[in-house]
Formats: sequence, C-alpha cells, structure tokens
Amino acid sequence: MVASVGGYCSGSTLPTLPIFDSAKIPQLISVANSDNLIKDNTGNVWLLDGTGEQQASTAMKWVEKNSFKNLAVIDDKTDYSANLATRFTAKAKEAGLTVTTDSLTPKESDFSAQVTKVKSAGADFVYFTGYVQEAGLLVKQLVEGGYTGSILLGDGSVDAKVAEIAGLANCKNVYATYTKTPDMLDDGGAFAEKYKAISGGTEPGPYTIHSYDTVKTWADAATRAGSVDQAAVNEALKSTNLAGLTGQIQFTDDGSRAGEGGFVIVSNQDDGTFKLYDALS
Amino acid sequence: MSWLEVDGVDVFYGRIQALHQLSFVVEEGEIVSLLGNNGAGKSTTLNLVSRIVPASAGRVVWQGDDMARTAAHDLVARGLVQVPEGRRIFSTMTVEENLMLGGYRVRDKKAISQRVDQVYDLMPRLRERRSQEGGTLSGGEQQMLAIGRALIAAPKLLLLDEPSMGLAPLMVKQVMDIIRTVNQRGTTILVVEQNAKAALRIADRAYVLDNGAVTLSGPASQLAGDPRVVEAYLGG
Amino acid sequence: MTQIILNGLFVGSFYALIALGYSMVYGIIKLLNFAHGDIFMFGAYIGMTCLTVIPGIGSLGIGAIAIVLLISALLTGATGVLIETLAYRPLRSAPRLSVLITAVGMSFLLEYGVRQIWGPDPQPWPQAGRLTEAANWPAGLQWGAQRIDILGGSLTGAQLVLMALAVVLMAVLALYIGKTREGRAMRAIALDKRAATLMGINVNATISRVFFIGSALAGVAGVMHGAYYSSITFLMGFLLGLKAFTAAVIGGIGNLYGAMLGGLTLGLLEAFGTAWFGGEWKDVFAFVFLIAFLTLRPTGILGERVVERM
Repeated sequence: MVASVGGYCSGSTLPTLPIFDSAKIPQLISVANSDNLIKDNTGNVWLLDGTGEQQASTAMKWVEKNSFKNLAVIDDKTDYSANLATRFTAKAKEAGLTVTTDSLTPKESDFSAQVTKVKSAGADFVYFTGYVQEAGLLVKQLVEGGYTGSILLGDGSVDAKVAEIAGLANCKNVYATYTKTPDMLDDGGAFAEKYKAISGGTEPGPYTIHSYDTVKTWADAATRAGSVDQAAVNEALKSTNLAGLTGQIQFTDDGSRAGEGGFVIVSNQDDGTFKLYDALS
Repeated sequence: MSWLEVDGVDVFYGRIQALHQLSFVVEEGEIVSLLGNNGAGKSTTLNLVSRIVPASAGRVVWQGDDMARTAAHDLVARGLVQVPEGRRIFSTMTVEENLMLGGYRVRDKKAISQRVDQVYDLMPRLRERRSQEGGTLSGGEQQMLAIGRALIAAPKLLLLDEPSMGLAPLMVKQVMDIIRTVNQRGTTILVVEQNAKAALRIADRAYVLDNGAVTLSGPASQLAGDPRVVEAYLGG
Repeated sequence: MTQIILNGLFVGSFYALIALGYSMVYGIIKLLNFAHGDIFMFGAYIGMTCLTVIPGIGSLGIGAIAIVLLISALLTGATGVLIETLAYRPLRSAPRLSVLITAVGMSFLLEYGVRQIWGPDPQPWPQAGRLTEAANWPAGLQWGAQRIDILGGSLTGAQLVLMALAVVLMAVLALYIGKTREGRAMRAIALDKRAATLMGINVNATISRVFFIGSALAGVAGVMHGAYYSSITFLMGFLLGLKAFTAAVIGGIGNLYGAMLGGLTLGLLEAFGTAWFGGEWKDVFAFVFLIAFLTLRPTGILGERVVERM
C-alpha cells in the first residue's frame, strides 16, 4: 500500500494511526481534524482539513464580533467534539468571558437537562461541537425551551438534516463554523458540473472538495518525488505548496494545514441548507 | 354406560407410568371416593379427568362424551370443576375476588352474585373475611374458600383433591360436612383422600388405588369394615 | 428546581409507558422481553410511515397524530402477539435462559429488519405530525405549541398533553387489571397458572392479550416520542428499553403500579443526576440505580408480595 487517503470522523480515524505509522505509509486525512491526530505524528500524517484549534479560533472571532458575554459550550464526549470544545473554552476563558460547559450523550433524544443548564446560566451564546442528529435535537429543544440566544454548531453538524429535525422555524439564530464547500467556490459551478458528469448525476457533497484536494496533494508530492515510495512521498509532502479548491495547501512542521484552516461562518436560516454567512477574514 | 366412566387409562410422566389401566365409574348424584397412599396416583387421576394430563391409552367419557377433544379450560363451562390439591387459592387477591374468579365462565353477572351470597351462607366465616387477602386465611378457611370458589361455577361434577390435608380434626369434619351438603344440593362428587376415615364417612362408594390401579372397591360401609382397608388406611 | 422535576416527570412518562409492558409480561410468564424496547421503536416507524403514506393525513394537524397513534397501537399490539406466538410460546417449558436468548434474538430481528427497510440514518418525523409545530394545532388550542409556565418552570403544551395521555392510559390500564374479569384473569395467571386453568381461564389466549396490551402501549409511546422529539432511529428502542427495564425493576417488576412509579422515579433520578453531575453521566446514573436495586432490594420499591400459608 502506497498511501492512505481519507478519514472523516476523528474518533474512528485515531485508532488507524499506529497501523499506518508502523509502515510509515503516508496518511493523508481529508476531513477528520482533531489535534490528537497529529499529537504523536512521526512524519507520515498530513491533515488537509483545518484542525480543532483553527476552528476554535474562528468561533472565537465570531463571538468577539457579536460581543457575546455569557457562553455555553456543549460537546458529546467524542474525540473530535471534546477537542473542539476544550480548545474553544480555553480561548473564551482567556478572553475573560463567562463559560458554562456541559456534555450530552450521543444517541439519546432528551436534552432537557442541558437546556435547563443553559437557561439557568443565562447564556446568550451556545456552541455545540457534536454531530448532526444531536445538533438537530438540541437546537429544537433549546428554542422550544425558551432559549433566545445565538447558537453555533461545529463543522460536524453541518448538514441539511439539522433543519429537518429541528424545524426551519427554530433555526433563525443558528450558525456553524465550517470550511469551504463546493458552492462557495469562485469557479461558477464548473467543478460541480465536472463532478456530476463523472458521478452520474450526484451533486458534490460537503466534503467532496476536501477529498479532491487530498488526492491531488498526494499526486503532487509523488510527482515531485518521482516515485510512490512511502518515505520519498512523505519527504516531498513537507514542501507542498499547491493551489487547491480549499485554498493554498501548505503544511506546518507538525503535519497540520498551514494558515487559518479556511473556516468561515455558515448559516441554515434561509432554507435549511448551510450557506456562507460571514467569511470573517 | 355410567355417568362418568374412566376406562383402561394409562398415564405416563416421561418414562414413569403413574396410572396402569385404571378403570372406575361415577354415577350421577353419588359421592365417590378414591383412597390410597402417597404416590398411588390419586392426584394424577383427578388431573386426568380435568384434562391437565393426557392419557396414553384408554378413555374418559362423561355424560356420553369422550373428553379427549375438550381443552382443560373449557371444562368449567361444561360443569366439571376441580378443587386442587393444596387449595391453590390466589393469595394476593381478596376472598371476594377469588370467588369472582370461580365465576369466570359464568355469563350471567346476577347469577354470580347470587351464588357468591349462597357460598357466604354456606360458609359464614368467608363472609366475615370477604375483603381479606386469601393468603392471610387459615388452612381450613382457605379450603372453604377453594370449595366456595368452585361452587360459583355451579358444577355438576365436583372433583376434590385431598381436602382434609393439613387440617385439624374439627376442621376436617366441617369441610366434610360442607361437601356432603353440596352433594345433597345436587352436585356429584369425586373426592380423593389419604384420610380414609373421613372420606368413607361421607362417600357412597369408594375405590382403593395402589400403584396407579384399583385394588379394592365397593360401598363405603363395606370398605370401612374390610380388614385390609382397616389395616392399611384406617390406622389399625 | 421545578424545571428539573418537570423534565424528569416528562421523560419518566415515557419510561413508565414502556415499563408497563415489561412488567406485565414478566408478571404473567416470568419472561424479560428484551425485544420490548424495539416494539416501541417499531411503533414509531409505523407512525412515521402512516404520516407519509396515508393521503390527506397532513391536513388534519394533531388529529392526524391521534389517528396514527391508534393505527400504531393496533399494529404493534399485533406484532407483540405474533412474536409471543411464534417465538416464546413454543419455549414455554424450556429453560429460562433459552427464552431470554430468543428475546434478544427477536430484538435484533426487529432492529435490523427496520434498518433494512428504512435505512440506518435517523429519520426526521414528518412535519405534519409534529406536536410542537404551531401549524398543527387548531385555532382554539394554540397553547399546545407554546410554553406554559408552571411554578417556576415551564413545559410546552405538547408535553403536558403527552403526560396527560400517559396518565389516562395508565389509569385505564389499572382499572382494567383491577376491576374487570379479564384483568382478574391476568392477575390469576401471574399467581398460579394451574389454578387459573382450573377456573376455566384460557391461559394462552390471556397471555396473548397481555402481550397485545403491553406492546400497544409501547407503540403509543413510540409515536408520542417521534411526534415530540421529531427524529427517530432504528436503535432508539435499545437504550430506552434498557431504561424501561430499569424502571420496572426499581418500581417492582411484575407490579403494575411499580412500573408506573418506577418510570417516574427513574425520570426524576436522571433529571437530578444530570443537574448535579453533568449531562454525560445520565446513563451511568440510571444504571447505577439498577445495580443498587438489584443488589439491595431486588423486589423494587413496591416489591413482589407473596403471602403463602400451607
């Protein structure tokens, strides 16, 4: 095996690291973005997606822009979610803001306890860092429970299903931190057209361009190395400087994506699908 | 053809044969008693007639009907009721509820409440305890309750399995008197007993069972004087 | 504080409705029907399908939910009877463990059968059947979709309606078991199957009836769950089933009032537990109580009372 390309959920990607590491196979992770993935990187792990650290920064920027004072952070205890929540909470505390934290259990339906905690804390901002199903349920129960503040979701919850579950009427104050999607490209839909032609009509999904960029990155490194040998490719990846659909692709020393990670603020208020709301930078 | 005829019946529990070609009859209006020691097959016989255990050979015919095709729970509606060994009253239900259950197959609600009153008349102690839980009654009262429960169904044939078991002599006499009264009012009785003395006092005829087959039979007065019976079952 | 209690009572109502089925079946044939939670899930899926498939039902608002509740109750009841007849009855005299394993097998059958038909993704509940959707409530009853303040806390009108429905169902069931001929027969079978037969009770038919009622209640709970939370998934019965089992044990398994009490108690315990320790401890809290009760007081709060005299 010359390389591994893929990885959506940090929690399930993490256990695969030692396996690829033992053979020094270049592991290019297209979407999963927990910082734990590069914690013990020995030089073969490359994150294409922005990390939790970068996403948390973006969220913090959003909080500052809107002057939220009393924050609530809810995670679902999985690796990706906890990572993002912890980093955001640290930044918020550094900035001297009030932060209430709580967790919920995935696969459950009743989050009245979390809603009650948010309301008694008097929060005007909630950041939920879990996944789609729980996001939908939480948003619905927050708003129906009388919460009138702003809600921010992590990129793991970005999906039209959230509005389907929560009810569009309850999404008036719902936003999310997210990396660029195909509809945010400046190419006027050319990529989407080409993709549909190959895929037999299916629209590109939210992470299609990440996957595309990931494969292209590997191909670029292999070309520059002149071979598919694992060690050579890992070496070549270090000096990647490629214009990708998700932005300029460069790596830092620890294997993460250089730069801001390309996070923006999206919202589903309009019609339930998440669209660009504020690019922030 | 007799009113109730048990004819050449074998009953097996797994590989153990409990009844060997058992045959006896009961005529309408009689009190017939089955006597014998533990393990003689007395309870098995009653459970056979009640269709709780099946026969591997022979037949049970009641009022001309071969019983093989009737389900156990349908017998009550036809007038065949058993008062089981050990009373088996519903311990956490009240006396009244126990009686009501006896009337499960009785369609006419008024008939049920009339019969409940009749049972209370026959056994006044039960009326006193009507709202008490069955499990709190004494052994003798539970036996009366078990009989009373059976009576709500207005049985034509009443089977009783060791009604005197565990009761003090005075209580035994009371229970036997009740059984005699029930018979006088028109119910045919088949009663199984280890207490031969008490049973023979009220029975018209009796059979002695040993090892699942009949060894002696005859009118009760005759058996009461038979030396073999006296030695084996009447305490010598 | 009031809010915590209200939250607990609301969730507890669901636990109670499902626990009833568990308790009734255990009471009558001493079987822990581990497929029961999945009957609840199946009821939700039937409800969702009815709402999407029946033409014109969308225009009925909450009336649609009522109709769907009825259909789901009947179908889940029938499913319960089917499972009992095909899977449990043939094993009536088999060792307890065999039936238990069969129940687990039925659970998997239901879960993955539903997954096969409807897919593994969570399904959003149809808009037309949502209890918190203002558009579904008729003009005079708009409070159904609004929050109502109660002694310092608040609940949506829909939540109150659901809790009221649960109370009504439980009251009707209690009356049925306590006062009717068939209810008496069920209690009799639970105490002494042989004696019940000697009363003329058709034990098999009555057991089927118990499964029907228990399953129908779970089906109703399933539709209520979907209509309120707006999302269902094929594994939703697993955890809720375990919680309902816990509730039944806490209240006293085999005891009808125990199931109701246990359900509400568990809901309250969880609500307070999460308020004190944090949201992620909810299930841990619940199952710690299960273990505690099984160890210290296995007969539950209301206990199995057996008074015997020889």
